[in-house]
Amino acid sequence: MEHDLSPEANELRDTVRAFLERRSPEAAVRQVVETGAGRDAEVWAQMAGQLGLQGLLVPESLGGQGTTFVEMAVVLEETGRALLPGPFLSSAVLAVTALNAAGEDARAAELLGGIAAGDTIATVAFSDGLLCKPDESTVIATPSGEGWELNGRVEVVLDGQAADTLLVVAPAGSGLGLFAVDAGAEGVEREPLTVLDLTRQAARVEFAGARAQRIGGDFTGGQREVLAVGASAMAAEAAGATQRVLEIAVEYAKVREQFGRPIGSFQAVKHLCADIFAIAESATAVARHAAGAIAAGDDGVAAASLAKAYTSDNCMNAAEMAVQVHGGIGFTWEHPIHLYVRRMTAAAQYFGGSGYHRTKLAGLLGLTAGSLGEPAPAGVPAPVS
Amino acid sequence: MSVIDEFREFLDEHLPPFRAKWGDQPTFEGLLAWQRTMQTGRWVAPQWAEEHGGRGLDVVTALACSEMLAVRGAPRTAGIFGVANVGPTIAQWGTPEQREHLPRILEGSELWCQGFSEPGAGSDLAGLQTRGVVDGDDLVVNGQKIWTSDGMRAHFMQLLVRTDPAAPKHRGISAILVPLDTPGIERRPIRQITGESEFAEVFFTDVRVPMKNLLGPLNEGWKVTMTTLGHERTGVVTQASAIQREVEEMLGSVRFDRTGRELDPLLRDELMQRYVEGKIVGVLGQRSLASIKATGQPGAEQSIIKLEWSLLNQRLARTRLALAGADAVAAVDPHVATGYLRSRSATIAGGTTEIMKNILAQRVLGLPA
Repeated sequence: MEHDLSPEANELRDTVRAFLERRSPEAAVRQVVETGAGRDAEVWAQMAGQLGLQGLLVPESLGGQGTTFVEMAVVLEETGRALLPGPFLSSAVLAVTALNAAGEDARAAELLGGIAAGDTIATVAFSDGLLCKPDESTVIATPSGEGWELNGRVEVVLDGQAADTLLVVAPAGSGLGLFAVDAGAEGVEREPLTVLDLTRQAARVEFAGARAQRIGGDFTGGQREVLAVGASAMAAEAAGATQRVLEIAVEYAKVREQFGRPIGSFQAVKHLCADIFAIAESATAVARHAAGAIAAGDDGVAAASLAKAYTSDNCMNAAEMAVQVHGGIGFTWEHPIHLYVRRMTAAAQYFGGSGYHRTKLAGLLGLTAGSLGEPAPAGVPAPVS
Repeated sequence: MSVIDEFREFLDEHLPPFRAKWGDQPTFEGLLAWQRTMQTGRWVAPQWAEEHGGRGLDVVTALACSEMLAVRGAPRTAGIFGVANVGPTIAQWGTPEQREHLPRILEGSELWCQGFSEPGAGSDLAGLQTRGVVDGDDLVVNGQKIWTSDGMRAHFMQLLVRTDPAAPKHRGISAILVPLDTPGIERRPIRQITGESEFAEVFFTDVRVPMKNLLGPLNEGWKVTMTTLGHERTGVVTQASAIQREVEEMLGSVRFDRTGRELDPLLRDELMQRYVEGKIVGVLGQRSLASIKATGQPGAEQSIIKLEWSLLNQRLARTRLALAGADAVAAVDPHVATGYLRSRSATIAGGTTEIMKNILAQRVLGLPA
């Protein structure tokens, strides 16, 4: 029982952990990675059908559970801990948040229902903010007949090859629009990327006159919200993964003997483990703080930046220290620790690294000239429920 | 009216006249005057039992009171070692006669210190060698204590002495309550790297302490002391929110709309690192508070709050130096430089960072000794 979570959230955590330990242990994760499947279809179907996880943030009226981001963040801690391969974060978190943010829309409702059922896999192609660099997307939307047409390239789309629906954020008129595109449609070219994190796929996507349907109105605020949720989701996953990294390192330090004694009896190793513990606890606390702020609509953007500013660098540090605790075995392919190093390193980049978010927070706190005269940082509204 | 509202009214009434008289940096005399005022409303330690001068408040409400004091920038408690450490230990282990100290500790008429560290027993506190030999109705004490906070101004000391040299080191220690005007006690101030003297060396030569001053059973002093350290636990929640507030205030002072200029990007990033660290300590404190609310005890995260707090305390002092630049080292007001020097003790006092990590690794993570 963790007292900063409700009894229901504790129960959800236990259920998801037990499920993933049984259905997606390390051997299964490795199999998915080695076959290049991206996900275990059966596990994916059970997550949706038995546990309703893909529909956590989907309104009940559309076949989801209508919970808040607090419960979703608990699940993300567990998928991070288990290194669950697949498009869960892309489809159940990013795409659902985008569709919820876009407002009442028949196509959005249909997609949300499909995502909740696990039948539809969607992801978001951001106009910026995933890579936090110039020209990460060059996509432009132009009206075409009754719909829209997309042209341009998105450098990285998380789970772009797994998705059957791409939700593309692109300039439309004076603002941004959210556009739904069938991933298999004509004019959509997806090139799988070689990714560091073996458990999260990504693709480069090229649009050449691809037909698209606009969902909702101006999506400028919507994308800001999805980016905050994405950063917070990455932080929650990293926190859960760091808790597991701590366990792995401590277990090893207790049994591995050198100089006739367990290496965990040496102060230098103790200190590494204590440092990992401090990061695991801090990451968990700050990720839950961000999830709570997002759910409450209470300055979620700043709280998400805070969580990402902390976890990006520090969870990577924790994974590195865990490798060090293991010595040579930690440098092998067979040992699971590198899967965590890969996960943390990639997560540190997506939705902005520590430095990016510190700069962003500096702006929100009024330390830079540009922040003058801007409205106070807007909270991220809670998902519709 | 809720307790919190009552406390707010009390502060509204008493803080402004105190500030008018003593200013923002009150002397120790001023701090003592404030403690006396606070105790007229039984607010110095509202979580203490009513018969001891408290209000019998639950820990969560008491923490809310501490939080309010911090938010209002109220002066610190003058006799803090008696109130925070010795008092709760006496409340738990003391005889009825010993408990008569408790109301006086709250009123500030008795100032207490703790005689723990010795020249040969710092991190290895249980290795202490000051002897206590039972002689009739007295314990005869010989030895030396060092780094005794408030040791020069205290009236009484909770003293740890070795009463059974043959026993394993944690088992042969006793705790006694010693009036510091007892013959045979000599005190000398220790001048710190700041130039100030907040600690004392205390020498004991054939000091006779009545056996009735024994706190808890003979040779159980280690257990008694661990109680004392345990009472510092909920304090980390207050400490955590205080340092978070300190960081936020530092940032507020360099806002663009206040200064009209932007910081150098490197300096700004250094400040933002402190901000993130301050918020982390703050959210860890909140997580601890959730545990305290549910169980009365902080969770595992409390063991890292002091650790993270002390490191942040030092980094913050460094960042203040960086912010002040050369003005800090050749200054009209030396408080930035003094604060920097003082911050070096944060990772030493109350357990060094290294020892705390050892303890954490063994007690929380279960690594072998």
